[in-house]
Amino acid sequence: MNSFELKGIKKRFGPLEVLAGIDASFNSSSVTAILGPSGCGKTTLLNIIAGILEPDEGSLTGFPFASYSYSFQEPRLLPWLSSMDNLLFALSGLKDKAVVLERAARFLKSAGLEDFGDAKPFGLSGGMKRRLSLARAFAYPSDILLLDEAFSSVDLKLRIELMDLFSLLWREEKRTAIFVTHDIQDALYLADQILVLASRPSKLLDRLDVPIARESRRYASKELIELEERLYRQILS
Amino acid sequence: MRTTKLPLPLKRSERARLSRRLGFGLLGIVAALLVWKLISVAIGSSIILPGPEEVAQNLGSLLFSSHLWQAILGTLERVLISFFLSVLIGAATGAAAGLHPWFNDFLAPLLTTIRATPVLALILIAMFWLPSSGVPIFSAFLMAYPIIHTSTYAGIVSIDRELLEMADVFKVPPLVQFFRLKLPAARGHFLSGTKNALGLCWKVVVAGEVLSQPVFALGTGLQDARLSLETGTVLAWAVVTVFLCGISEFLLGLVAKRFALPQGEKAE
Repeated sequence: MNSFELKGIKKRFGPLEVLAGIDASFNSSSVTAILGPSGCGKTTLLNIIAGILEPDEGSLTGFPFASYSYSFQEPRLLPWLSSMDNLLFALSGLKDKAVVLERAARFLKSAGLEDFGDAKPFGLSGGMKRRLSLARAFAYPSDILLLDEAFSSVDLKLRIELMDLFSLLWREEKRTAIFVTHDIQDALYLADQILVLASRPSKLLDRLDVPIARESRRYASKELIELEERLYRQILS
Repeated sequence: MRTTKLPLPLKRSERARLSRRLGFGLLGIVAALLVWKLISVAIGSSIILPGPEEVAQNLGSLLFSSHLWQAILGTLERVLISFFLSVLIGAATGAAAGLHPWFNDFLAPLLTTIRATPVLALILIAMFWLPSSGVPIFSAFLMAYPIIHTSTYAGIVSIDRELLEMADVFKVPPLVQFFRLKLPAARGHFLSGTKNALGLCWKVVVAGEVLSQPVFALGTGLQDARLSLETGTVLAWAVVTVFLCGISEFLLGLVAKRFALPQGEKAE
């Protein structure tokens, strides 16, 4: 079922044409990776989906009525608030305070941070901050979860830990997730579908489904080699 | 079982650094007193410049007079009233200006005028309008208010845009954003503004008292001593003022330290 759809999305910043007509659809409760070289407009597309930016042309079906949560490339935590309070801050727009407390405590625990609820960000390691940022995005009861390079700029071990945490939290509460990455193996490890964008001005180069169940995938495994080669060819072309 | 040792060598080196700083500070004071003494000997007139020992003597006798303590209480009251008024109103208008650019534009001409007005002109104008004890309060408020306003405004407008974007994405209500994000983010600028404002309040209150002559005031003591050509006593009153200003700034510094972000605690 195609719940969310983009049609002919175009965006330019002054003379710079960034998106030259993107068409894509996203199944409900699926994970989509938007893959492409640096500067191709992946984050711009994500911001258009989130409503942070307006497209110059094109239409979004389903998105305007959805609620969003976001995990950014940087954790974006409030340094003067504890881990728990950072989650509560993000949930403060919700009416039912009992639900807010329950969700914050549950996702803090799922992220393995239940013993660090009172700790402020400067007392957490880089990995813990990333986990807290992911937990915050999941704790917010959104229809769509957007992740902007949420697994990048960290070492491989931490990156895999973060992606495993993403899978764990996603299984706990399945929702439509769209993540931006420039790493083919990250996309193959997590996504149900991968959208490949060309260099600027960006168009959709390819769309492929990953046929292996996420639970049985291993990072950079041989089972995914054919898809990996196909993606490399697309990006290098 | 592994135990973590306290970093004692570091503590020792910190103590040594503190002692060194204190030592150099004391040396600086002794050098300044020596220069003062040499100049006063060279001038040879205690009306123009008395020596430090004479000022110390005057200070000693001043400390035993009830007049000094009543004057301290009077001046302290004026300093605190003007300081808290400027903090309350400056923080409110600074925050409003930071949140609403039109309000910032609206206040800009008024603030520029206040900043450009010489403090003595303000005091003289206030003497037409207010009783003697109100003049120093009004003048100090007008001098300190723009500092608090500007520091609060700067704190609000310099908030990390990425944190604001995060709060907007999660649809955090405006009031929660204000009290949990914007105000805490602005406190660094605000606290440094309060420290500057407090020092200025002392200076302007005492200057205002010199001209408006309230009954109990450090400024009145200074002026009376000046009229009697007791330069040593003038300097003794000045020493008391400097000491009180220093103490209040130190106490405010302790409060500010309590509320400031600890080192290393920056936006993540």
